[in-house]
Amino acid sequence: MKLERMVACVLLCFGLPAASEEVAERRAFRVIDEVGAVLDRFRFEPSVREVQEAAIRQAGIDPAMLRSWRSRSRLAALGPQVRGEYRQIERDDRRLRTGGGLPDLLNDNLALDARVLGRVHWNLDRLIFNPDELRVSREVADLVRLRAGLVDQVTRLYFERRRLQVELVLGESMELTDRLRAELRLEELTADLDAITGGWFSSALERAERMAKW
Amino acid sequence: MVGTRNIDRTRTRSGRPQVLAIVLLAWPALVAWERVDLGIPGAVQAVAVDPGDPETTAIVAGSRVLLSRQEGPWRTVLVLPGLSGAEAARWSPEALDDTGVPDRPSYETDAEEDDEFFDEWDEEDDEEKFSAVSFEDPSACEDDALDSPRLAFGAGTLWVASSSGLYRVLRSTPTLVHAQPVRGLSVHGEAVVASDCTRLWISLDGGETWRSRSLSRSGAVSVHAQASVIAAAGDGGVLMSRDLGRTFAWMAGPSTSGIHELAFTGEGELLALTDEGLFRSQDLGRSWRLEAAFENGRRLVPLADGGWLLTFDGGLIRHNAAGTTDPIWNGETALDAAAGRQVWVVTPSGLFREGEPHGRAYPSSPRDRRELRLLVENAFRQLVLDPDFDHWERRAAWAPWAPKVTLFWVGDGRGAVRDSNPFEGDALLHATATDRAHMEVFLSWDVLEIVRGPLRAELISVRRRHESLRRAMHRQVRLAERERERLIGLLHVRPPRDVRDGARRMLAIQEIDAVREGLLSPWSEAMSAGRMQ
Repeated sequence: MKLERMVACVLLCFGLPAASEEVAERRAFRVIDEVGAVLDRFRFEPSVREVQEAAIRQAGIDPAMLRSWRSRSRLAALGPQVRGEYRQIERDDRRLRTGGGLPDLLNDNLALDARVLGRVHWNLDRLIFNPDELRVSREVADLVRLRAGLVDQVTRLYFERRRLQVELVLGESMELTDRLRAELRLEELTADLDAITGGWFSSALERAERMAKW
Repeated sequence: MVGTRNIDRTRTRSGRPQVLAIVLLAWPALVAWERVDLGIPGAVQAVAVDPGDPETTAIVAGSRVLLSRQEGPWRTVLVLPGLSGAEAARWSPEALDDTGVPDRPSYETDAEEDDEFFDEWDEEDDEEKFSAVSFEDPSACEDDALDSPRLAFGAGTLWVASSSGLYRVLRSTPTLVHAQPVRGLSVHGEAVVASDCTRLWISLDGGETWRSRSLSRSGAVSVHAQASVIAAAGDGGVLMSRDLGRTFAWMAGPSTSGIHELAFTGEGELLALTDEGLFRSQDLGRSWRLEAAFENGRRLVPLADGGWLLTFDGGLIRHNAAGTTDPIWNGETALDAAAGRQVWVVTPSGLFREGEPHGRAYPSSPRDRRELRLLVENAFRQLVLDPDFDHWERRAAWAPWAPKVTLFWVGDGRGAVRDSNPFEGDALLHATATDRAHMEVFLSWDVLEIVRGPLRAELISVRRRHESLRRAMHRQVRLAERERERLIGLLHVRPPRDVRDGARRMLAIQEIDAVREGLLSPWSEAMSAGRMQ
């Protein structure tokens, strides 16, 4: 594991005091090796990065979506507002003239007016600056904050769970009550991670178990 | 004999958030530390550097006061009477708690104004003048003695304040000056101010003659000889003299808790370290401002260049005269510190001195400040899609000048039939039909928008939101880097005791790595490419 190599390097390059401390040095390296062996037991389990991403996906925070919001808000003003209208007016105008010794006269005027109107409207000012960009930006900032909180929460849960796992591995002489308590807390943390990742975590654990058996 | 060990530089520590408020204002310079192996038993408790001769350093190790000139050997100049059992236990390395792996940090800043009144104190005629050693019953004040001896240089003389009294070491010859447990000591040139549990002792001639003044539950003292100011912490306030101890006035203290340390800065500002944190007064105690709130301050050491050092359970902070504040020691408690040409720090694991800046860091060292900033900026751009607010503002300013364009197309059709006298057979039928179409283009401007200009309030609001996000990211990444560095440094200072300890510490580093990478690489390649699983 990279971190173990780095820790060993720290101890080797800087941490090794005088010869009188050689014993302590050897012990430190042995401890680091043993720590590596313990942590290696969980190598098939999903990494914290994978869990973080699963949680982010589950929350619906998608970089493509954010990019799309921004570009669409910018280009939306290219599309015009289009309005169509058809208007029909029918008129029937009748006029009767009678009396006065003249024959009756009836005038009947029928008229049909039709109007087709098309309206296309561009807000060119929005091509230069669309106030929706501000809204999008505000939403993006909120989502990023949400993402940060999510990553933080997932990381905490993940490592609390891992610490508990290590405790259970190392605490072989643990009392039954303490072991039960630790096991229950482990279940709780697994359930939390499962809920945050929409069930992905437990399925990834199952895959990890299968791989470990192989 | 100096064994080289390069120790960590920076760290943060949970539980003292506001210290970081000032710490975070500046990125610490890379500092390499050399462990100074004294080759003598006993924990190092105090250190001082002669401001008049920065090559001269004094330390207290065990019960011995040692002096070294120009990197020469350490010579014992004084053996202090034995420490009490409780005090000895307190300084045994086993008794010092393991720094361990802290919880993850969360830091906030806090500041408050605290205006106090200025209350003239009627001078009581209780002044004593003497030139001899005063022997009173030391046990009367034992509880109020200093936790550990304190050293100070002035005019070529080393002063040692301890629970057994005040000593003057001149030309390697010690003299007991005052046989009472001393609580505070401040030396500036020939001006020496010390306090025991009941009195304040002042000498303006390098300890030849003294005058004293009663001071209920006296404590920390500080003298600023150039400004002729003496400040002494007493029960319920600060006793201030502007004429080197001739007259005094009571000032209200910065907080209800006692003042542990007082120090004048180069600008004549007074700093007070209390249980509640570090307070600053710019008007000689009339008003106090909380500089940083924390509970674990230990020593406040004024430096000759006008800066100061602050030691606390989480490390050591250096405030330079230029106004920058750097955390320069992290990884474990700093008990005492001093600075001449280089900074010295006393920790439970020994005495360290600042080496030459070498630019070399641990394999795990934080990236340098510029690189880190670039990384954060890059991550921020990836996350919030690179909003260029200045560009936005320009665009928003010009936008109302662009017209709104409306295009009309109108088609008219008209048909008419005129029938005269339809009841008669000779009706006259007359029909017409017309067809017509036309197009209109309108350009319009909203004068109101032009006059009003861009929606600055909205722009500012969004900009502020982004800036706050950016700052939070910077802060979080820096904290993660520092905490990581601290934990790596701890591996060096204290290798893991057993597998459980090692696993705990390694998981803590991994956790910080995960947080840091989650911030600096917000989207994995798969996510960026939209290949969501």
